[in-house]
Amino acid sequence: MTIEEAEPNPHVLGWIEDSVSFFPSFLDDPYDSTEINCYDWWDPNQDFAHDLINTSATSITSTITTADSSTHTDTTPDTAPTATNPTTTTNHSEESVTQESSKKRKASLDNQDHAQRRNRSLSTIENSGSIDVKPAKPVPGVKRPANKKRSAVSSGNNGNGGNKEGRWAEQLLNPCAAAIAANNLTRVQHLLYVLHELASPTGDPNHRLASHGLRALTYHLSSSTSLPSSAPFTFSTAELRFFQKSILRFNECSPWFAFPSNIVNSSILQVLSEEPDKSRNLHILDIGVSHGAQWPTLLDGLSRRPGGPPLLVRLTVISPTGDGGDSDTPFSMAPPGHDVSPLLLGFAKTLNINLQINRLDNLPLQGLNPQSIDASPDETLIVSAQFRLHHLSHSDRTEFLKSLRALSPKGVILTENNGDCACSGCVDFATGFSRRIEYLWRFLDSTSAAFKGRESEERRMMEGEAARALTSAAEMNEGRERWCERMREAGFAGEGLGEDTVDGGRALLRKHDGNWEMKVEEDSGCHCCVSLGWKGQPVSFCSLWKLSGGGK
Amino acid sequence: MAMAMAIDDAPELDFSAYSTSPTTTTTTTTDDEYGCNWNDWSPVVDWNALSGGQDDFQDLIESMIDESGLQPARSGVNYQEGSNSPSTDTTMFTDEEASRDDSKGLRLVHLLMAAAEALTGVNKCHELARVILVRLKELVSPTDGTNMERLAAHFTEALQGLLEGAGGGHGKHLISSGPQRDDHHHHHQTDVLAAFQLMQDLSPYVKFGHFTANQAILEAVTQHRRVHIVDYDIMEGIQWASLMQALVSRKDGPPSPHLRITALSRGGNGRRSIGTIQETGRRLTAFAASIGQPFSFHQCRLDSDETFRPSSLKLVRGEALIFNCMLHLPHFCYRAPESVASFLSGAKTLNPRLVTLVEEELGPIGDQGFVSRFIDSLHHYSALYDSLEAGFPMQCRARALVERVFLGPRIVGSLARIYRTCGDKEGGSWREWLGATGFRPVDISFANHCQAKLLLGLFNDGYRVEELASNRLVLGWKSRRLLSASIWTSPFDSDSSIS
Repeated sequence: MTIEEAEPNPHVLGWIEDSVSFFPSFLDDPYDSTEINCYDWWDPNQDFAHDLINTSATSITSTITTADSSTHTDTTPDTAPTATNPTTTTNHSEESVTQESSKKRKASLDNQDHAQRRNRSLSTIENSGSIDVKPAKPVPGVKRPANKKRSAVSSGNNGNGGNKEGRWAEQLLNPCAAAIAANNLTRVQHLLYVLHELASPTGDPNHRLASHGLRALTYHLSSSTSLPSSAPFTFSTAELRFFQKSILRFNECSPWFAFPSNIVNSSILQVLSEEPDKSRNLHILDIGVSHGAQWPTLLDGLSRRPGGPPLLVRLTVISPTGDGGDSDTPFSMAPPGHDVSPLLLGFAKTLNINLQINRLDNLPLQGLNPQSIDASPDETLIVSAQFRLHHLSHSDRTEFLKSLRALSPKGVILTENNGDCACSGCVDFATGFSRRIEYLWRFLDSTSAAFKGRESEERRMMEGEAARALTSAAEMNEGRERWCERMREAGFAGEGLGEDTVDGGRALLRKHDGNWEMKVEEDSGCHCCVSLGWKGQPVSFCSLWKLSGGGK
Repeated sequence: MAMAMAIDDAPELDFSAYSTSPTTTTTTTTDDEYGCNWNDWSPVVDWNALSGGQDDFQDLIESMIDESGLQPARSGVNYQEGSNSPSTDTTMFTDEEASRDDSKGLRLVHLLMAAAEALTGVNKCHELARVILVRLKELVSPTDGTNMERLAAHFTEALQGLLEGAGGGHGKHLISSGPQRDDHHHHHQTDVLAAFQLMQDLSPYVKFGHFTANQAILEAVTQHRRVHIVDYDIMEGIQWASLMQALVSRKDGPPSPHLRITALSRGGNGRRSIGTIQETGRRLTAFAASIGQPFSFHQCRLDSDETFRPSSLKLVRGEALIFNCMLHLPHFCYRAPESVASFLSGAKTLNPRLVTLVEEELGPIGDQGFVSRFIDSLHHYSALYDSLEAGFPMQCRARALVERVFLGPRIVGSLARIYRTCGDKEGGSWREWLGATGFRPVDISFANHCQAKLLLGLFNDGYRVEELASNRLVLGWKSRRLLSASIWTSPFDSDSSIS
């Protein structure tokens, strides 16, 4: 570029003249409009800039008069596509994931047929036409190939390990709850905005946690007594068939409930084996959340035990009661009309077991007594309480356990969440919320591993149901030690879990993700408890109790 | 060093947001015309009710600053946990679709703030930062969408660079680069020139600094036969063309003095994207000749670390010595604070007639860390973007060029510096430094002030000029202050000439 070129050429001059209108006369002294124009005097690339500048200069003048409409037409079309696009793409990928997962699911079900005999027998409930019973109790000695286990471990560590760093949703949810507690509205607003952007009911466990957490926080902030209309998919809103299928499917792929059920069934057989009179009637009191799914395995076990099944097997099911009852407890409610009795009865018949089922729909837990459950002195009564007792207020608990003792059961198997209480009587809102979130995280994370990250309706329903723990007033958990203490206060003594029981639980866990772990707890010198954990964090525990002090 | 952070980032102008105050509505435009309306959106709850009515973007950002300073929420609304909170609105999820467009800018701001916090805060969580940035990238593009969307794209890119640098070793991004990577480096020369042209024609940022400094110089040298200007960063030299024109056209004055300009030159680290200093000198020389202005041009080389040594300057007895220091104009490159300090300290030893300083205005920055400085930066650039959109309402292409060539790289560089230095104690501005060093303020004349007002009158109504001190004019957009011009003289009561 030379100095000569820098002189305005006719082209440039033309531009300068054009732009004069844009530079009205300025201060006479020391500047004037010619001087301002001299800013452009040397630009050797005038040609290049010419178009741009020309357009802008002219249209600015015209825009000034019509600025209103022009700006709007300018910006609106720009934003619209960007805002809608992400939604469309998300839907797309969801669809394809669902399609793919249903294919794979089919395949994996086929594989599991061989591996999971126990579950196969459960699935006969679905197609009760063909009964195909296999040995119910896992064989303790069978070791799975090592590579299987390794792959399970690695699939569980996909990105969101047990370390807090990967758990980003909690980094938004917990501060938000804290800000709500501190009445810091600006901060609350900020965090809700961010959560709203990142939450997704179908993403990885963090996105899901954000989605459920956001809903819960919003619910908390609003004064309404019902959840927003877009409430997640839960048990009570599910279609009946789908519900039953989903429960079975979940128990196949996750030990969350399958593990405790397995321990309960083994423990019942253990208690029975210790009774002198093998033909005595068996009466099981079911205060649980398995919705019947655990009993076929037990029936199968009963039919196979030495000496055959008891003459009569009575199953008394205590359904959650509505208002003021424990229907608020996650996983306790079933869709209206859910009744597995016919299936169980049919199944029992094929095993030549004389089964009697009695469902008590309106009996509050506090109303339990020998009459209400029609107990008889010449039967072996065994109580299975699973994930239901934590809805009782802390102060009612020991009393209730005492009322259980008054039934003089031969055994009580207590299964509960192993965690700290989140109720408003125990801790402030923020602490309670973070504990609920912690619980839900374990559920979502382990369930993601169970479904191998694939999206499905079953998964959505299970997760939606688990998420009720965020808003349920009935989440009054206690740690394992506290429960055990209460059992002893009520007059029970821990009973060591049998070797078969423990081995059975261990074998079951081997079929699942490697991040699951169990631990036999030793307190007071007996092994009455087994804890289930996910990535090193406690999830639940199962414990076996008998009456203390000569209750045998 | 402390001061370093205050200035070293580049943004020179900043700004502001969208204030929708009806009083600024005038004949030509209203504030609402540009960009989106931040106010009337409520994604989840009715925020206006909750927070007592934040009526514009700036309030919102300020309230966020409050928040990050852990001050209590400013709202007077009280609500109880679990009980009625009259102001909340539970219809959120369904209504939101309709207002999605309007709300997008606000959502972006929240995401950006959260990402900045996740990167550095007490609860730092890089995984969270990563997830937020993924989301942001889905939402924005640097070349598309509204002002806020394009701006957010640059901030997103900057944060991504910080995350990668912080996360683990592949510091290919900004963090590891030295004092600066060259802002304009990657762009074609013609793009840079075109963008510069657009910038200066359609916004007052460049001219405001040049005109205010030049007017002060003109007033200071009326009695001098020889004027020597030492220019810290001459760039394309456009400032001096207008000064020469003014000198030769003075009415009733003495003949035009001899003008000598010494441009500081840097070693070959490639930042002369608007032509070399030699080219600038040739152009100025030719221009001076064409209008009859006696003129000579010199260079003075800075040390390799860009330190200025006063002894390297050739001075002539009797000339009025002027130190001109333009920093942070939108098209300027980043200059290390040590280098600026050496220039101004050097000026002190040479007893200049005048020191003209133009620098960016930063928000009130206390001792907060990265997040609040990040927000201030966001505020600053959003004002700048808004003002440019007001200046180029229909010219997406032109604006995009300016943003791509100047602003985007500047944002990236600026945030990297803030991130690196956020542990340091915050210093003040260069004008505070000059005052503290003993330089004396020189009043801005009435004519100079009027000139600035008239200059702004050529542009959008949103621009404002304030006289914040007798020697200082500040250019702002709406309520955000962007660029400050201040005039100083030697600490010593000498009479301008060097002996």
